[in-house]
Amino acid sequence: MGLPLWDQFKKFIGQLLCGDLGTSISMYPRKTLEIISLYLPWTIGLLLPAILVSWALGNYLGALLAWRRGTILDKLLTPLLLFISRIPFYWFAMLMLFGFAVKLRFFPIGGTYSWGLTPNLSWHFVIDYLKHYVLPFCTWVIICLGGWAIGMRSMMIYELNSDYIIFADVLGIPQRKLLRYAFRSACLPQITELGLNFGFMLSGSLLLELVFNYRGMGYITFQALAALDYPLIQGIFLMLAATVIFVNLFIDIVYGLIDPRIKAQ
Amino acid sequence: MRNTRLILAAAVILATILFGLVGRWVYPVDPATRIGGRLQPPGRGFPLGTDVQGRDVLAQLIRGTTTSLTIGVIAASIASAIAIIIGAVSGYKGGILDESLMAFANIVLAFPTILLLLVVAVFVPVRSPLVVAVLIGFTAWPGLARAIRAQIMSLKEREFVFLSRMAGWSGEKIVVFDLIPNMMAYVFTSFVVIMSIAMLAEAGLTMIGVGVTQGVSLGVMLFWAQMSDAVRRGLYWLFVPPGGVLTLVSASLLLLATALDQMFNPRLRAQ
Repeated sequence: MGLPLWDQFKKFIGQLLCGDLGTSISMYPRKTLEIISLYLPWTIGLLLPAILVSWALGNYLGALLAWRRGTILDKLLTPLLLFISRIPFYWFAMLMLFGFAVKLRFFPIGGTYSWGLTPNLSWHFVIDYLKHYVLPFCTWVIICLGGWAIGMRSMMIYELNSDYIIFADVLGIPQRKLLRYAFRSACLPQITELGLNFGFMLSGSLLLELVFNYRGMGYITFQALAALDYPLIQGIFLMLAATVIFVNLFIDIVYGLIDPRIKAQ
Repeated sequence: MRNTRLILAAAVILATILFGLVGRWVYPVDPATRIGGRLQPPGRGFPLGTDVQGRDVLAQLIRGTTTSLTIGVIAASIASAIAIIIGAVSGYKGGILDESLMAFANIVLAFPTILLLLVVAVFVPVRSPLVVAVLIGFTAWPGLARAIRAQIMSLKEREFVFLSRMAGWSGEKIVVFDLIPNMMAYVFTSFVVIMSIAMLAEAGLTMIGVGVTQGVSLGVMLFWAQMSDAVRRGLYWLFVPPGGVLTLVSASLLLLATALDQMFNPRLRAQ
């Protein structure tokens, strides 16, 4: 403070390199980095499995619908998936919470774990955590499922109509094998999509946490904004930006490993 | 089939626009003043109940629908304009300019809007719907820009472009009078898609606290519902109406986009 802007910036970069993101205002005297590292694991624990499960399940479903296109299954499921992917996901989360937790009482009405428990690895805690976990997890999977399935369905239809599949079919290669060839090619754009959509999914998970009162990054983002806690907002901003960049870098590397055309270059 | 879809989607969108515009004359209740008891469920006097401060939810919904639709139109206009300029320059000029513009587009594409709004939220504590609409517009253009670039690149090799060039037309004139008019159908379809994305984005961003803070939009209503813990307290009339209208509008906008796509693109129609 009191220094010229440029010196302030140099000081900030210096501290950043030492892992010092400053001290939070609203949760004084805790360090920003300490707060983030406290809440981040919960977000990762929810987001990562949900993304992977919905991606895998969506791709499987999309391939199935492409293979069985024109049947009753395709005619019923495809419009349904399209419609679900059009519902604003935060509102869908509110409806899920209202229906399954508030009205039917199948699940706890939000939170990460029951009041008074401290996180540990005992059975009691893990089961309690999972009870709170099921509803946000399922909501997230259902929301993302439609988009992946629709994308995969059209990619598969395109691949199944391409020359190499028709040629392989003429050669008499079994149908299951054809399906696998097409699936592998159709997966590539889906992986690119995963990288491009990651930023969106990350901000989406913040909102999902807010609705389910799940104590992760979404919760502290909301708190930091409500209290105008600048160091914490800045820390969250840097963390989110870095995650998006690293995930995209990671996907670029993975792409090189799985796509023989890129590997050859 | 094609026409029924188009008519259905257009009818729903028109009905929502009219709901917002005509609603305030048919139902002249001020959404900002207290008109009854707090948290009244839907019933006589308040068709959609009242919120925590005793304000009428239906009156909020009427204003909110108009605000959200306006945000969608403004954001989509800005995004389309940026996309046309960047896509056209990139596709027509090519070379290093093309590569750097497309690299920039990819960065914007992967970067979530919430990050931009987080920064803005720190410096601008009071945000009007217009500010949020402009910011969403500035982040929603890359997909369309890439598509326009690809179309320009294929269009510029056509004969009518060579003819124009032989007639001595400048590059700018060719782009503006030959190439862009050829893509207006596609741009219009994308405009509809971006509009629905922008409306959903506004509500989501507002709900988390980085969006609109002035006036009433559908997002502001959901934010209030979230703040008053409506879901857990079973106050369904606070969150079902704004989300329902949002779903209805975004679904019809996308239906309209697919119907328009089929209308403009004869190859899709044949299937």
